[in-house]
Amino acid sequence: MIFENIKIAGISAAVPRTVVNNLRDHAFVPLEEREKTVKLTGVEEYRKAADDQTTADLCEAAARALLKGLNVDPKTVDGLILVTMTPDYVAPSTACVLQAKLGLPLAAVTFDVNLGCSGYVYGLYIACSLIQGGSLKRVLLLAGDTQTKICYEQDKNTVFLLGDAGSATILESAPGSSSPIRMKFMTDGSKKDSLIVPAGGFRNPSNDKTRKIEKQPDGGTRSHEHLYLNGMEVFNFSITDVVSTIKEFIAEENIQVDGMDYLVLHQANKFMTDKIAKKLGFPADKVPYSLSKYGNTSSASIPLTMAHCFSKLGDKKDLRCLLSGFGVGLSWGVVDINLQSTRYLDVIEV
Amino acid sequence: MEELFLKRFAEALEKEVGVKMEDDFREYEEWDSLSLLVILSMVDDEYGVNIDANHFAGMKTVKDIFEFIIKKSA
Repeated sequence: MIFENIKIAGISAAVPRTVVNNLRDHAFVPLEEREKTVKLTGVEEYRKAADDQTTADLCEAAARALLKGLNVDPKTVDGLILVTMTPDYVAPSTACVLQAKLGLPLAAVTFDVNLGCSGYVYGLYIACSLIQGGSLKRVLLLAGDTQTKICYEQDKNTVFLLGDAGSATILESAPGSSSPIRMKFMTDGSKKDSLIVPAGGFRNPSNDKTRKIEKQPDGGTRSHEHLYLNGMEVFNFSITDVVSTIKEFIAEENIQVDGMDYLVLHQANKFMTDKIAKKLGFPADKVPYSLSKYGNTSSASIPLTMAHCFSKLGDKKDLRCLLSGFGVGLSWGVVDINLQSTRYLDVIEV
Repeated sequence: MEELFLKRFAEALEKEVGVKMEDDFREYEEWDSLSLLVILSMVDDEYGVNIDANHFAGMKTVKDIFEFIIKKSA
């Protein structure tokens, strides 16, 4: 799929102030094991939302900074998409709450999308579709999650990896723009159980049993309302399915890896992303990271990485990037985009 | 080939005393979910073989992994 005459005007990200340090904290795991984990995953620390701080709060902060930084009047935004798997409410869509808070027009097309690690690239697809086929002029794409709220604090499979963040991206109709945006998406719902919060929805409603925290067969401790991550299945998925799709995409679209400035991967963990980059033939200096400081931040990880790394690049205006998000669903996608004159704001703390 | 596999297996786990074919790898003191990923990665890098979760669940010894690789790469 291909989109034309669309540009990304700017990208921002916001993180909570509270720092969780993997070596200093998590005393329930011996220090030696903590060191081994940090060495392998690359996550030294991440941010944790306060009890009363939600995905909407983080995304709102990122959005306000971006609207202000780009000098965009909220009344000129005619689409608002929020990608999250940790919304503020079961109903309504959290995006509706943000439409009012941010002062967007009543006529703005506004909705949530329930996706995690693949969410940002999906968000770009939906935003581009709304602009190209749906006659919108300016879309605010918010992607964020507060995953620490769905991880049990002593589940060592998740608690060393996952952090909280929100992001904002503004996409605009740009007639005459010469750089097409290409994308490809894949889904394999048969592997849904490898990354799942099994209970608390309507298939397995919340009750005393689903809330009970206990040792699970995989060795982790959590309840059925916490996030379960099957490391082996997700690892295999990432280094086989995700890599194959990106390789196919590169071949189908006749993309020259040497001509790419950056490969921005979902910040799953460094062990895995290094391996994906290597298999795709990208040298380490073309693969930016934010995970040592912010961990794996689900749908926010790609824009957070761009804000964290690209805001330091100064005046380098054109960046040809391959973006790939992959995870819960299982769902994955890849985007080839030439970022021209995109503004990247420094990461904000809230 | 066997010797090289054992060497790579021990290196991946940073096990200085080395490993033996008959070892039950889950009984290693340092074995955990991360070691598993390191071994999966080594097998993928060195032999181009992916071990899926179902097959892995049935493996007990280092030899089981070695034989799976031989079968897959045959």
